[in-house]
Amino acid sequence: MKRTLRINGQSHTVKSPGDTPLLWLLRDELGLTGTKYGCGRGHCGACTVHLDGRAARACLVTVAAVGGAAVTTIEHLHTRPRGADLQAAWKRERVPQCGYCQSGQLMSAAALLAQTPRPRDREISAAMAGNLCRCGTYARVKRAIRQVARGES
Amino acid sequence: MQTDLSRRSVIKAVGGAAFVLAFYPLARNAPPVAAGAVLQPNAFLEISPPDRVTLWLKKCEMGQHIHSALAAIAADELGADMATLNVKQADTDARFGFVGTGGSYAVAGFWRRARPLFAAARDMLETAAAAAWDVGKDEVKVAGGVIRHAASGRRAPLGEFAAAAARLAVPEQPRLRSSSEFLYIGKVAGHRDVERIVNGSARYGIDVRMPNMRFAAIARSPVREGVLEGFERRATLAVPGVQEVFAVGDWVAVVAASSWAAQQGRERLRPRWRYDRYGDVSSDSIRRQLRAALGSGDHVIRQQGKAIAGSRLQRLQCDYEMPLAQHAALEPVNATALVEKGRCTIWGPIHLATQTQGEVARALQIAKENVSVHTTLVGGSFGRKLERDFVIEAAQIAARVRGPVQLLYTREDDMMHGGMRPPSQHRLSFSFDRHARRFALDYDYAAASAWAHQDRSQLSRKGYDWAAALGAVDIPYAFQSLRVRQTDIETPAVRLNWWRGTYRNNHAFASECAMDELAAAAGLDPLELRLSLLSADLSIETFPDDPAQISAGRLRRVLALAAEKIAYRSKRGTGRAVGIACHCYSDVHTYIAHAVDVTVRAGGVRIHKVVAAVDCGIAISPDSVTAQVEGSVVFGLNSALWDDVDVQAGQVMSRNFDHCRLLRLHEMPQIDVHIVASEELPGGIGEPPLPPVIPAFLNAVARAGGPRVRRLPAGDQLELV
Repeated sequence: MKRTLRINGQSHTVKSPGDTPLLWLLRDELGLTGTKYGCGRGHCGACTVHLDGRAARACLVTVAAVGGAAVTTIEHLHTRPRGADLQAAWKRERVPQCGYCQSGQLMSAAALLAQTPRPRDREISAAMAGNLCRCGTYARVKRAIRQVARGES
Repeated sequence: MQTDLSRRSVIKAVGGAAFVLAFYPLARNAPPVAAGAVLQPNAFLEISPPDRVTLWLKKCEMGQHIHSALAAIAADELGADMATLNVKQADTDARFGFVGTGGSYAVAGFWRRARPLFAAARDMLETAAAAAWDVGKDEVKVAGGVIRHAASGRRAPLGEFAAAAARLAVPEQPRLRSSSEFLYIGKVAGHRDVERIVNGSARYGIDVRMPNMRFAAIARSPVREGVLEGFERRATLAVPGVQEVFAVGDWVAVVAASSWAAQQGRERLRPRWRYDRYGDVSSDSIRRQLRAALGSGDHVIRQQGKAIAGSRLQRLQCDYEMPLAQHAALEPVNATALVEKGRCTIWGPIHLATQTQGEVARALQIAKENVSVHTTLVGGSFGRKLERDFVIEAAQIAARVRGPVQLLYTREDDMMHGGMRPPSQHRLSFSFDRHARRFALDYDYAAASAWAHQDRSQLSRKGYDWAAALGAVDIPYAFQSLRVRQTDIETPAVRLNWWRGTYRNNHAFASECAMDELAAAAGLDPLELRLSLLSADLSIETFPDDPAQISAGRLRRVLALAAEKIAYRSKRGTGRAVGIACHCYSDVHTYIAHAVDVTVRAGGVRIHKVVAAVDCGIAISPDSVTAQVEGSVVFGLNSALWDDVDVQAGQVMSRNFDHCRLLRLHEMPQIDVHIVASEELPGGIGEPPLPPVIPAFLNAVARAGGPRVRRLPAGDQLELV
């Protein structure tokens, strides 16, 4: 069965079976490798994308469940509100060490700011709690989010 | 610093329209090359007009920002413009020699060995420019990609005289830049690929894609050395996308059109293995094995001084226990392989490309010259990607099918089948006379051997696992009497590998916690006790045939600095205290001290602040040094609190992040990093900040009135609040 999904503003007719996690559709069928695989079970947040602007773990959402929702991946972050600002802040603060988890970090941060433009610390903590970073870049992630929230870009 | 280059390198111009100045570290007896002759390249540096500089680096970028650091060193020494410098990853082409990354040694090694090559190139460009402009050579300067003659104002892009320079003799003793001339060293910051990381286009090993590439998953015995008895193909082949299913020895490969199809196909395999052994091995049995070995004292690895005697002698014995731990890098291991026409090409996040090349060649029974390994960006490693088994497996699959295949380990595969941090048990027996301030230590430990898994030939170099002695043999304190004894055990059921910081973590945990216990028993302040016992420099063999030098003064300095910055002497309320620990990572002469300020109350610990003092010699990138310290603190606190691995019936049961707890954003404490300004040779920073983290934290907990934790993980006794 072929489905049509709306991804990064474009319609894609996809072949992957409906029970395929969105993560693998993105990475393998569509070649959008910016969304990362870390655990496959929603524990690590590396696969975070937006569905209609809200953060979702692409490893837990099946192709069938996406339905008509608009999917945004890291490759289109710059088109989201504050997306480009977050990318600039990430560079300014030298956030990434290995960088592998950072697509997910950025997407979660963007979803937070879209919902809550001036989040309190505990709102940042709650929104980012699902994004693991083994390199330990959290202090810089938080600093970058606060800067963008305060409009310092 | 001057160095003789003439036997080791030669400059040549590669012909044709592009004039290229290329550096070729050659074998000792190779004849010099006449200008204009064409040779097979063996190059790390290429300069072509007007200003194109290409640098090949042999180190893999895994988050330690090594490409930035090495590019800065090269650009400063050569006089190139870092903004336009082109950096390429060296592959296993013979011209590059040994390609591998580890030991936090990249900067120190490059500083010593590669700077002279860039200095020679700069020298020749200056000579050529001076000749062309008819001025004195010492009036010409190369910096930031431009050659200048200050007096006349003449200038030219760095590559303009490349061809002319190539006809000159290689200077035998090129002048190395002094630190006052550095434009980039001391200032460069961040990941070279940060733009691509934030826009999603950065390509890690798992992101390798090429036409006709397929994906593979492997079903392996969950118990080591299990013998494959059978599996079912039909259900697997019925999964949409699955194309091939076959066994290689005792494992089964599923090859499919997508990662998901390969994983789904694997779920249907129903493989059966016979386990002849290891079914009775568990984390507990390994613990018992270590405990039984503790006290055997098979190898005396250090002995000095005379035992102390006296009627006022007191004794203290502390036993410490370090469990297994996993690396848990966010990118699971993976490798992409293509075998065609007798050649094998590999792409992956691999530390040891040259070693991998040899092992793949042996596994496929082809000549090593027919194997090429291309190192990609690495999504975190901490030692995990030193292993080669996943690459050999990918190559063996590719040898059986057409076209390129990417073998991806799922998170479960990565955690079940990777070598882990070696566990150990430690016993520190002190005898001391607190009034006379005399201290003696008898340090006995049992360590599980990683070399037994990684390279057994290393066990015969000194008759014991010499890597397990790192951090023990070089204890820096001037005890009146010190004896260190090691007993090795092997754990064939559980694979072991290098984990960030290696055995120094185990020894720093035990010995730096014990120092605090000694201080308490002797009625002394822990900082004061350490400072007084850091009274003599130490020169001692750590790596075989390689003496390390430990400067007591540099270690005292970082301890004092950390203590000062955390206001160690300030009175804190009940339940709140500062703990300290220090370590000299002598392999790369880097000195670290941590001070941790905590409050302990009702079984919970709150970390107010961590202060780190770092002496890594010249800091190429202070920001990256800071980042590595921050990361090490998070990594170390994680280990102190939660790292453990559950092994049952020979199987690793900790298979995903639900059984491997990682610190989250809101749990990261404030970390202040102070880098000692230094003109000493640059050390390393990927691993050195880690070993003292665990003991500094646990010492703080104990001083704050919490438990004295001797068995990790502390999370069994303490909750992080």
